[in-house]
Amino acid sequence: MSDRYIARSTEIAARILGGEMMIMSAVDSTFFTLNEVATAVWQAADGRTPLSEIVVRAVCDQFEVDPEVARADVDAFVDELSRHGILLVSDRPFDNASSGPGEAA
Amino acid sequence: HKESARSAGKKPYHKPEFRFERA
Repeated sequence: MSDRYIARSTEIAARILGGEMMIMSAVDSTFFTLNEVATAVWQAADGRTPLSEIVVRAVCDQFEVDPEVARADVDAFVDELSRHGILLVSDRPFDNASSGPGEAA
Repeated sequence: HKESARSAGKKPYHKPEFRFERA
């Protein structure tokens, strides 16, 4: 399977609270709460790091999980979040994606 | 005698999930 790149939408406001990322979509005012592993993926979504590398660095290196399980879970999570429009997915790196801790005004 | 070393210091894993509500 070819690699993918993920970037956070700019149409959101996000804050981390108690290890969980809280995200408000500016498009439809939907309010999302991510668990700790999902938050780690979200924070690593800089648009330039391949998803396979994010799985290793943000998930497998930090949490006790089999790499294949982590990859499958992250793939499903990314697909679901992209359907809600707050995570952008591409087969190429994004030019002007935001880096940083994943929080946004 | 059993060798845990690899996972030492790692946090328990939970499937990445989110919940959402229409504000």
